[in-house]
Order: sequence, then C-alpha cells, then structure tokens
Amino acid sequence: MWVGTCAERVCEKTGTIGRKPLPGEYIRRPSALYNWDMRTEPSQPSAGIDPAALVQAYQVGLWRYLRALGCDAALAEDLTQETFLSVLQKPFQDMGPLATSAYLRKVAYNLFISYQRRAGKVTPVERVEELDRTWTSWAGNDDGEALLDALRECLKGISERARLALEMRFREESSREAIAAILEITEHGAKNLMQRAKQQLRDCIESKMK
Amino acid sequence: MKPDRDPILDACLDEVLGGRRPPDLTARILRALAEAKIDQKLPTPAVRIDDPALDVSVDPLVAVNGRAAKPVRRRAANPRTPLWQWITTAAAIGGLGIALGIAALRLIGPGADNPNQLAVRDELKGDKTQRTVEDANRQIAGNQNTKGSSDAAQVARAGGHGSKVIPLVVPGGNSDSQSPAAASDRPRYAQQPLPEAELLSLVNSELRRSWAEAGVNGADAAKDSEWCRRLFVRVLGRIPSHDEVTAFEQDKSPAKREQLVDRLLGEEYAEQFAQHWSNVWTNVLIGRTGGGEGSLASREGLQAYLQQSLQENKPYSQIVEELLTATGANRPGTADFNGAVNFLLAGINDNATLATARVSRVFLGQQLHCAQCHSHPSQEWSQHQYWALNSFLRQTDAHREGDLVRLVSADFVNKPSVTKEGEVYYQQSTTGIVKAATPEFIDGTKIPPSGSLAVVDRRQELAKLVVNSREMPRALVNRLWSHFFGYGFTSPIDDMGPHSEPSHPEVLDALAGQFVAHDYDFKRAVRWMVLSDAFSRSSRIPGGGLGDAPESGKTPLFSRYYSRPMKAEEVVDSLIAAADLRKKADNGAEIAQSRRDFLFQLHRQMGTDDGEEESHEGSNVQSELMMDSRLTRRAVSAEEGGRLKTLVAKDSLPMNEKIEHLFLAALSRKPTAQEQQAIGLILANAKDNQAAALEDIWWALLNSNEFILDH
Repeated sequence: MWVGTCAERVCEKTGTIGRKPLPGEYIRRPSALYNWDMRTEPSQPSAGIDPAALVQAYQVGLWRYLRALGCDAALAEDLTQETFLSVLQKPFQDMGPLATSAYLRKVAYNLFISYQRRAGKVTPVERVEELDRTWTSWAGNDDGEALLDALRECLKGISERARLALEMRFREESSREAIAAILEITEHGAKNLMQRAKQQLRDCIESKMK
Repeated sequence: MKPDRDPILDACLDEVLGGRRPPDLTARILRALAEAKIDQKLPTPAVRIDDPALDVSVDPLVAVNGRAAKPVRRRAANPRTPLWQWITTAAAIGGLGIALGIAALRLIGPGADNPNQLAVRDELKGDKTQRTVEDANRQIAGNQNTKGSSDAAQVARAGGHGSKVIPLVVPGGNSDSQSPAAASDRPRYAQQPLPEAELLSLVNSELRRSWAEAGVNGADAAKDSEWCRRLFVRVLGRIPSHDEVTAFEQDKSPAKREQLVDRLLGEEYAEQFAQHWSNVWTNVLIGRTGGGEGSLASREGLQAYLQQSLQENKPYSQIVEELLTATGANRPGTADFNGAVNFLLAGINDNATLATARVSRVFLGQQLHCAQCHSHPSQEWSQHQYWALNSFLRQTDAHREGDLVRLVSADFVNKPSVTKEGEVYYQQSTTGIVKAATPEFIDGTKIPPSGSLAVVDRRQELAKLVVNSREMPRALVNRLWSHFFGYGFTSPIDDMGPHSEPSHPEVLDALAGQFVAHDYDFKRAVRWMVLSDAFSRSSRIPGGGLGDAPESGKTPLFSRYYSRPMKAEEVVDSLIAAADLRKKADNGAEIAQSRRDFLFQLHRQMGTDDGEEESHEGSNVQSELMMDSRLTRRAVSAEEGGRLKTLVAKDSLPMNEKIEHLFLAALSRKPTAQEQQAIGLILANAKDNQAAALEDIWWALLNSNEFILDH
C-alpha cells in the first residue's frame, strides 16, 4: 500500500519512497542481505568478527552519515546502534574498510527509510538519494574528516556577522529572533543572512571537495 | 525535511560550530547485542526491530535483564517540546500585543514622519491658498513675447481667451509652512560591505532558485573561448584579438577567468575600457545623435569628460554629481572647459524638459516625461512631481560665444514670469488650472523654495538627493545588468516602480546595496556581473530551457547567456580589432572618420520631446555597410595593411594555420572540420592567387552572422 502523494509516495510494503509503480512493474525488494526483517529468523552471528572493533572502526562515519541524511543526533545514535545490531546478528564477511563502510551505510539507509515510513514522514526519494550520493562522494572514504576540514577552511571566508549568526544558531541553539536582536536586523534578515552564508559555505565546500 | 534545509551542511556545522562530536556507542551497542542474543534464546517470540513498540524509550541499563528488552533505544517525545511550545505561545501573545499597540499608536499619532504624507498634507494646505489671475498677470506682465517666457505662455494658454479668470494655485502657499529636508542628511540605501564571494554566492543562489521555481535547467558552462569573447565584447566593446583569445585558451590556471577580468579592468586596458564605456555612457546620457550640429552640447566634450572620469575610476556617484552640477565651457581648448556640462546643455532648451526626462530615466530609472503634459496614465507620477523635479534644473543659463557654449548657474528669480520663489508653472491637464511647483524630489523631499543661488543651489541639492536616493544604485545596476545580459531586471530598464516588479528583486537589491557599500565603484559592479554564474553559462538552450525565453516576452531567468546582435559600435570596433587596423598610427584619423560615417548611417533623431531616436542597427543598412563600406574594404584588403596583409606576407606559415588564425581573429574559435573542408575547396580553386582566396574567406568570416553575434 502506498501513502503520501505523487512523487512522495511511500510503499509500506517495501519501504520504497517514490512514485507508485505501474501495473506489472517490478519492484525490487530490499536484498535479503540488507533486510532487517530477517532478524526475526534467528541466524548465526557473524563469525570471526570482533564486534567491538567493528563498532569502534565505523561508528563515527555511520553516525555522521545518518546526520547527513537528516537525522537529529539522538535518532542518528539509535539508527547507528540498530545498524550494527542488524549486521552483527547475521553472517558477515569483512571485505575491507571501503566495502564494509558502504555496506553499513546501505543498511543504515534502509533503516532510515523504514523509520521515516513508520513515523509517517513523507520525504522525496530523490532528496534522500541525493544526500546519500553527496555524502558518499565527499566523505565515503574518510568518515567525513576532510569534509569537516573543508568546512573549517570555508568558515574563514564568510563575513563576521554571518559567522556570528551561525555560531549562535549551532553553538548556542539561539532562536532566529534572538539572532536578529543581537545583530540588530529583522528576523527575516537573520534568516536571509544565514541562508546566504550557508549557500556560500556549500559552494566553497563543493569547490574544495571536487 | 524542509526543502531549504541542507542536512549535510547542518550536520557539519553542528559538529564544527556546535561541538556535537560523534558519540562513542560501543558499550551501548555491545550491551544491546548481548540482550538480543539472550532474547533469541528465550522461548518468547523475538522482537522485530521495526515493531511499533520500539518508539518507546527504554533505557538499556534498565532492560539489562532482557525480559523487557528492546534492542534499540528510541526517543520518546522530545523533552524540550513542551517548553518550546510554551515559549512559542508566550512569544505569539507578546507579538500580538505589540502589533496591536503599534496599530493603535498609528491610528492616534501624528504620522508626520513619512515624507509622502507630509507632501500630501502640504499639497492640501497649498490648495487652500489660491491667487487670482491678477496675481499671475502681475508676475508675467509684459513678458509674454520674450523667448524665455514660456511659463507665462502656459499661463496665458491656460486662460484660453485672455479674459477668463485663471485660478493660480501655489502649493504650500506660505513657505514657512514647509519643512524642507536637508538633502545631505537623508539616509543612504546602504548595506554592510560583503566579501565578493559572498555576494556572488547570493546572486548565484537566487538565480538558481528562480530556475528551480520555474522548472528550468541552467545551461551548460560556456567554453573558454566563448566566455572570453563575450567578456571582451561586454567590457571593452570589441572581440578579443587572435593573440588574446589564444593566450586565454592556453592558460591552464584555474583562476584564469578572474585573472582576465582583473586585467581588463586594470591598468593594461584602462584606456580601452574608458573609451568603450565613455561611448556607452554618452549614448545613454544624450542619445546616439545628441551633441551634433545645432546642439548646445558637444558630443566630443562629453566623451572626453567621461573617458577621463572612467580612466580615473571616479565613483559613479561623483560622476552623477558632476554631471548635474557642472558649469563651464562645452568644448576643449578653453581654461574653463568642463565636458560634464554637455549632459545638461543637450537638454536645457525648452525649459529643461528633456534634461528632466533624462535625469529621471538615466539616474533614477523612472519615466516621468509623460507627466510633463498629463498625470501618468498607468503610474502614480503626477504633473506636479514632474514640474517639481524640473524646477531643480532651472537655475541654469547657456551663454553662446560662436561655437563655444558655457553653462552657468543663474538665479531663477525675478525673471519674466518667475516670482522671487522661483516657481515653475504648469497647466493641470484635468482641470485647466495653472499650478506652480517648487523643487521637490520624486520621494516628496523638498528644499527651500527660493530661486536665489545665494539661498539655495538647486542643482547641488538635486545631486545630493539623486546620489543618496534608493533609486540611483538600483537604476545603475539594472542598466548594467541589461548591458551584460541583454535584459534588465525590469522591462524597460528605465521604468522601475511598483508597476514593474523586478524579475529578481533580491539580486537587484543585493547588487544595488553593495554598489553603495563599495563606494559606487563602477568597475567593481562590472566585475560582479561578469563573474556571476549567469555570465558563465552557454548561450545554447539546454533541454527543458524553453521556459526561459525572454525573446518571446517571458520574464528573463538568466539561466543561459542570451545571444544577441552586437551594438553597431561594437560591430565597428570589432571589425577594426579583427582586421588590426588601428596599429597604423598614420591612418588613425581616417579610421576614426570611417567609424563615424559607419555609425552615422545607422541612427537618426526623431525629434520627440524625450529625444527618441530611430535606429537601423542590425538592419539591411548595417548588412550593406558590412559588405561594402570603406571600412570593410580596408579591413578585407590584403594590400592596404592590417591583419590580412601581415598574414599573406608570412610565407613560412602553412595555409591551414593562416586559416586558423583568421577564424580565431574573427570568431574567437578554430574552424570546424566541415568549415575546413569548404575552405579547402576554395583554396584549391584559387591556386594561382592564394591572397585573393584569403581575402574572400576573410570577407565571408567578417560578414557571417556569428561575427556580429554576442553569444
């Protein structure tokens, strides 16, 4: 059954977000490998894998990836935990850091979609896919460290006021009204200032991550 | 997820600025894993991870016995939510209270701080002070036949048959009741200066947003050669030479575009820049035919002033101020030569009506000239506003001495038909009543009404009002944008106002504000435009790009570079540059004369009040001139100097390289395979006279559509 409208439909059966399939159109179900429903069938935990080492090695990248998909910090923690639980309870073969991190991201991606579906949130699939692609290309190899370095560099290029506004927003979690009051501008002006600064940062990061 | 959110950037900012580091979940995950294993060994059904029960928050430490095990901790309701809701509710109630308070104050308060309201009240007050025709006749007595008495004539015409009583209405009546604002104290349309990257980011993001809203894809990036060519055409008014385009293409620097812009705006090209833009601005200020024979103004004088000002990179505000306040002689060769006077000299005849129209159109982006005779049919401009603006320009006189004309400031008081307050009279079209106007800017700001220079210099005050107005930077940015992209933010560019919403108001405001913030730096504004995303797009229409078709009357989105024929001046200067005709210093005067002849045949005055002109740009007249004018004959000749003669003389250069050279010189690109094949046939048929064959090819290139196209 599909919920939502038009391009934002979500298939309750598969967790797929997107358009309603045409009659007879093949819908690819999530691979059994990635299917968390398989946990209902007890299976042998991953043999020869040190769960602590696996978690230590990949949790940062996974948590950041989930944040990049739009999860808040708490949800990212939950889904990170859920991802490792899902993976560690099934046969798992470590084929190297890149393959493992890609596999973990895929599991996390599916869990995120599932969460969105259950929470009744309608999200265009193109948007999530775009975020996934962008993160993978920018941060797929190093858990996002280079991306954060690029951001730190780019922050030096924005105006002092813009930086102050962003710091208040992210460091102090100030409301837009509070930021506007400090900067002596309108609330709309504060919004515009931050939007522009973020667009500038985005452009700067894009140029650095090419 | 809100569409304007950027989760990746937000997450990174949260970490970098907010200090929210990734948590160490190892212990928690291992505990949950252990619990899950215990669960699997229990007879009770295993818990599905996607069970709705997972939405309940469970502390894994509490569930360690496994009985109530939930393998994943889910957040329950956000604990901050109730607080947030309370704060929001309180803020909403407070905001409502403040809004009601402000509304109440406005209802009962004086509301006199709005200049428009003030002006309206003064107008109403003035309407009560009426004089009779006897008063008017006393002021204009005996002067109806003099040349300068057209105001009196208006009064007389308003009377119709001379015996009819004409009520003369003086706005304000008692001058003490007016509250003229000090022009220099008016707030500027200003913003904090932004770094260039931030401004460009804003401009680009707003443009992209408009494309997304319209469902239009941005065109691909323009090739280096295309971008280089259009940059030269727009900034210097000519195509790049063979050497310039070749050097740019071979430059491997990632910042080569910015570097080329810097060069074109720097010392190396300062003279060419100033020459081109003095041509552009002369056309804008006095038209293509202004300052010719019979005119008080000297076109050459104005061009000389503008060229020097642009070469010195004077702030635009200073240029405007000098144009509005200039006094002195119109032609070089005298001690008091001041080329800036030619702007007003070209329009002060006939009560400075043409100058009024030009000031409002060029500097303020407003078309007031319709309001000269009647209140504007579609806008809010009234006759009073037109004549009030006109009265700023009436403290001027032109003294002719042979060919020389001097513009001087003179009292506009106690002249025939002029009272001591220097009023300007006009006949109200709707009622036939003759009214008087004293200087009042378009936003309602008034200055002391005296016509005496000892009391107030009206042109000085006008200059301050124009320069400090919100309209001037917007008008300049709109005009400049139109120069670079073929379309301004409004159509037409000099008719801005509520009736003509700009296509990209945020971009217009940002550029105008930053133009002021950067001290009206004209070259900087040019730099912003040529480094914008819109300027770097290809002119080829992308897939789905038909949504951006200003050629068919739609609002321009600037998702591609709009191809357009070059202006006549650009065509001629490109022809001269392509053929390399300027190198011979001894024929400079002849080339200049050929250039003037070429352009003279393309433009003609129509003699209307607002100086309209008829143009044959891009017509068959221009085509014929390109095919067989004196300039073209010289340009394509292999014997009369210039590029072709030099090229033919280079025996060591292979023919294919000569052809490539000609293509780069004329079209800023190399020939395609198809073109090479066609040229091969031409050359094969002219084995005995390769020079003639090159002439034919060169002529064809210069007469191609591509040559005259800015794309």
